[in-house]
Amino acid sequence: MSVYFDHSSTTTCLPSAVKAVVETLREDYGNPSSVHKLGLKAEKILKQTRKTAASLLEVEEEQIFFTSGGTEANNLALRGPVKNRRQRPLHIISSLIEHDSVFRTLKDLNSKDVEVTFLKPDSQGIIDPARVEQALKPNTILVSIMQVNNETGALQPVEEIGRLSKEHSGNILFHVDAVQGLGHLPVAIQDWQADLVSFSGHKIGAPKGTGFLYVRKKNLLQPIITGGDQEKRLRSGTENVAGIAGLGAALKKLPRLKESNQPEKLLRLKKYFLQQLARKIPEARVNTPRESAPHIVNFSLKKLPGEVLVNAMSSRGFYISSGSACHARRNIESRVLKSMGLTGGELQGALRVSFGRENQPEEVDRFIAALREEYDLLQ
Amino acid sequence: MYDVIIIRYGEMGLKGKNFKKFSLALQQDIKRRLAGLLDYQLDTTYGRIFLRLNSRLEEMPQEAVKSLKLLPGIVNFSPALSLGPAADLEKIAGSAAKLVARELKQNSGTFKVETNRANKDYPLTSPEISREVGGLVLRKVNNSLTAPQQELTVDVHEPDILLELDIRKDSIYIFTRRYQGSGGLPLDSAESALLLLSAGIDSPVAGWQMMRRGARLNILHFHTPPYTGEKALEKVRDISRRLARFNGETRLFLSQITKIQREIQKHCQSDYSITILRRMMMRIASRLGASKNLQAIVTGDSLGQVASQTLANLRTISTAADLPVLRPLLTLDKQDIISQARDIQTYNISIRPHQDCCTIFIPENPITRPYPEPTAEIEKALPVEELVTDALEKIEEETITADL
Repeated sequence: MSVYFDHSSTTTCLPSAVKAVVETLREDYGNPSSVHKLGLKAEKILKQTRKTAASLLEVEEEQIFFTSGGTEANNLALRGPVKNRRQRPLHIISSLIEHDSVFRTLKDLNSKDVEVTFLKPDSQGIIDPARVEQALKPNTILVSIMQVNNETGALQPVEEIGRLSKEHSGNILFHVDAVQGLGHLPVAIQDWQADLVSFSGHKIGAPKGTGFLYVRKKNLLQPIITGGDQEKRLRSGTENVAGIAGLGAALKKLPRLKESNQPEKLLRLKKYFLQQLARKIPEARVNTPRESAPHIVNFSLKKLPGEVLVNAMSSRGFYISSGSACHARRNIESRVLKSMGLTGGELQGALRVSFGRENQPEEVDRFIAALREEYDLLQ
Repeated sequence: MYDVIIIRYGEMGLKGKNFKKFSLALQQDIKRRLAGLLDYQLDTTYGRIFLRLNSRLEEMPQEAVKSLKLLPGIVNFSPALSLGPAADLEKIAGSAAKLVARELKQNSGTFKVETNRANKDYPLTSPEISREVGGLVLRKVNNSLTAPQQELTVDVHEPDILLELDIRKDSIYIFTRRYQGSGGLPLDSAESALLLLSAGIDSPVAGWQMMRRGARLNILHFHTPPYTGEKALEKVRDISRRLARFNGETRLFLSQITKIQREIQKHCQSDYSITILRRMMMRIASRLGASKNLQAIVTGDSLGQVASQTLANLRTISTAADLPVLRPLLTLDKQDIISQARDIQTYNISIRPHQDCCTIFIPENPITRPYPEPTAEIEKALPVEELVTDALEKIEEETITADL
């Protein structure tokens, strides 16, 4: 039996989501913009998922905007406000540990009119709110910091960062990429004082090609995709009705997490994994800090490029990710781990395991035993 | 418009007794490559192959043009119009004018007529036919021109349009285009060879060059799991699928050399590691090749391109092989290789990021002058025979079919 420990990359589509997708494709194939009955049925599906998302996040239905996924949600959350503001030059604060869909989008926006500050994390991979405060300028319009880092699982102090930003100026928008947090940690949009929050469907058991952006007020943004004015003009393009039906089904399965209500099963699994790793593979250096999401563990095995172990484990039916790629001419290193100060073998030998609700302790045992064997064999 | 495609072959026409075999091989390959693209009857006359189309074509389908341009053995080909052998000049000019008028839309307007009269019974000489038909075509085309078009004029030195008339016993052929083929000899006119295929740019081109000279290929790829992954392997399969367009169904052998690389790393001087690894590959390839009745090993080496492609290295590597090691790209520059890789459409696959070797095994300073004796001396630290036998036992075979 294969073991899937790569849930941060993607998750399997839940049976109820698959069912919703198929039924929608078969029965409710109408275009939500159509006036007739089939159009109305399709529109109802959108409304239903919007309602589920809003209720889970304790926000209004009108504040949920469907996108093609996390990447598009992040693009809209960053490009939208820049387009919306006349003022130039303007300033944006983000970090070196953001997902590429934030990092590269900001690199792309960066110009003489749009200055971007990329904050360095500490050695734990956590952004210090004091640094955000120091970086704030009179013309800062946007702060974008992720909730959970996708490579290390490090939990970012978004509530503190949101508070400091808003204290600096009520006009600053606060964007949180919550793609890795949803389903694993409380997503407390109000406590964070976030204006924009990005979500992806395929990380929570919905089909790929689905996601949404929470937008506090629609007039904070200009659309980046124009056309038929769907999603209240903020995101044109005929809605992915079937995908959104699947998204709704997956959202319904998510636990309603609070500070007092953590995903115990995942936390226990992660704790067990870390124990077994320390016991059986003491050479491993753990890169995931204590303050981290319950489903991600990043660690380095110095003597081998991460990709080699990913390949080796893959051939034995264990699926994980690496922080680097092994190429004949150059090594592609993780920007995130590098910014935390990792170098050499620790940087190149980084591995990420990420758990899902279906994983069992017994799988951890088998995984660690196999990894021990492969590491001994290959180094 | 067109009712026939004239295919001209080159040096195989000089083959005397073996001509028939070569011609049949070429016909076979044409049938295979054009299957589903054109509807025709194939017919041969000395010096030409005619594809007589079952229905007239307004234009040559692009896919058929591409296939014929890269079909080994074809020097060039022309889509043409045919008339009966006794057609008079007026009739010839009528058909020719249609072709010329069409070319004129795309080109500026000078033309020239060239006649080849194989049928000596035709009542006029070649220069007479050219002159008369030229005059008639000029008048017909210019009379039918509508305002903004350029007028057709004659230029016998550098014409934009060359109208060719081929007067033969069976028919008269009229055409204005000659598509360049790849030349060479038809597939299977030579014996089979074993191509050492990496995931890079060069080796597929080396394979193409061999196929262009009539050799059919088997392919051998060395990989290093887990240092290399599934994606690198799929890249090699994709390149093989492209080569199979020319080669037909192809045997792909996959050989794991992880163990050998590790043994070399453990026991041999690091600067000799690449040379020694290549020698191990040659041993495996030679034995595999001989067992499959393949007559040679083909590599993508180009002289001096990288440290392992110095003459000393090539020599030392070759001495480990029992089969001859052929290197069709030896004297080509990288740019020429890339341009050929683009022609055979392997380039875009080769530049995908997944590499077929890992940094761990690449020495800092590979030796550029590894002579055979010291290399053999260093190699003694390895259980060569055991490693080769083990690798041969573990070779996996896949059947690759063309991706079109």
